[in-house]
Amino acid sequence: MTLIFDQVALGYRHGEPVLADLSFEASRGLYLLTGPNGVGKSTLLKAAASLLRPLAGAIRWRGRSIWADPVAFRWELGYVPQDPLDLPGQSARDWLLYLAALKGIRHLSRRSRVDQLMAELQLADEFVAQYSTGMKQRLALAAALLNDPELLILDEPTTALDLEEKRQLRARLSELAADRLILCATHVPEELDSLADGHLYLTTHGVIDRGDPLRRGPEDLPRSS
Amino acid sequence: MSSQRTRIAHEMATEIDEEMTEESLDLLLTKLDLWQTPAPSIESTAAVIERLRPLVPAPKPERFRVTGLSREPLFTFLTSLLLQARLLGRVWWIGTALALPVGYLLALSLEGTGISPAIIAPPVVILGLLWALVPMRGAALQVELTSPVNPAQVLLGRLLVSTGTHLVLGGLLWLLLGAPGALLLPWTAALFLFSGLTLLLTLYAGTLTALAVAAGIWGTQFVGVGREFSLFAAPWADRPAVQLIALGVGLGLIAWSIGRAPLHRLLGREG
Repeated sequence: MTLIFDQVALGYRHGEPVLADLSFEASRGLYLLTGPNGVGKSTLLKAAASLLRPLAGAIRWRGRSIWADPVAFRWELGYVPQDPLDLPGQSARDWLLYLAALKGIRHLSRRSRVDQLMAELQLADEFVAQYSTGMKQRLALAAALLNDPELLILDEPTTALDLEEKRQLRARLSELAADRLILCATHVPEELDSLADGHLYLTTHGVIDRGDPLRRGPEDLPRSS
Repeated sequence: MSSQRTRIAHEMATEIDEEMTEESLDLLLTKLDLWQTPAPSIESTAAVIERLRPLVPAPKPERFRVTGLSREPLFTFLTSLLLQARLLGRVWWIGTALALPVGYLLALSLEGTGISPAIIAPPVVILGLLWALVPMRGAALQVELTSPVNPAQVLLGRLLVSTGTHLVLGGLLWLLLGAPGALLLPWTAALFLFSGLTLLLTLYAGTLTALAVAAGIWGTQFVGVGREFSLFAAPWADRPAVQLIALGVGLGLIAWSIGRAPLHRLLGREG
């Protein structure tokens, strides 16, 4: 269960890489991705989630390029985007049921799985437009967890959460990180630092693997701008 | 004297602070032999279990993926198709159910005016498709595209629900109202032509641009009806061959869009 970035270059147009020469390796546990604002953390996560093809290099999951069979890779993937969900005229439950079908959850299990996650994440059965930003963020997490993924990618998951929601997210991430890989971008690493098994710091020149935060001195902690 | 007897005699001597007689000791040993351990009460058993519970490791819950997932692509596609119909919501269904009969009656009223009845189809198609495709953007689209489906399946599902509904309702109206057969081909041709155009534009330029361009093309043609520059008023517009070509072009645009399905273009570019 290892995700490898091997000299990856990323960009939205050919010939214009936003990020180049990205190399790192992450296995089971929670890995925090930090770095200055606008450096490309979301771009890196999109590439890891197979939403963006690399311009060069390879992204491997379980030793195989994720683009060799992207559909097979996505069976093991859960992704929480940075932006809040914009779903006009749709109820949270209907949207989760739809995604549960897309994720291949059997008919008999679908409703119970959706109900279970809605209860665990305290999501009301309402139209998404009526949700607060924090609830939308929890809805995105519920969607990502539907298929109980082996690789969970979270883009700034704490941004819109209040203190109690952050506490609950920490508890859940701690539980989830025990048997899967979680790659989580954050501009406030202190919030999740004590849970992290690894720490990746992104610069315009590539990724610096800061290793296990528990083994670092405070002066080594990367600071986001 | 057996070692057990000796030990009990010693314990009792310590307990009562004097030596027991052989007779008393025999009596005590006989009573001990006959003594039956009392059965524990339910309360005392529950108390013991409760005290032991923290010491027993909790069983790890079974991972959901083991039991709840099916990897049949056809199953996934068909199920998602059914649920997409629900996602469109009441407004879409009521709007479509009202717009189609109105459009159909308007088209009938154009018979014999020299204007192709197909001119009524595009606005219905454009609005219907955009309602279906607009939610396919931003964060929600990103989540859909990280599901184990081909992006073309997501796109095809939305298109099938929207265009399929128009076709079925149009067919029903044609049967119920007994309209002339000449209406069917131009309507269907316009339906597919504008479906293909809107879909292609949505993929390459975004939904709002698609709305503006498709509505602009139709608006220009609509305004041009009385000024002799509208294709819908051209003398050859009613020819079946022309309508079949339009139908073919529409189907071609749809096939091209689904085959290419560059849905990732609709994603944001934030850093």
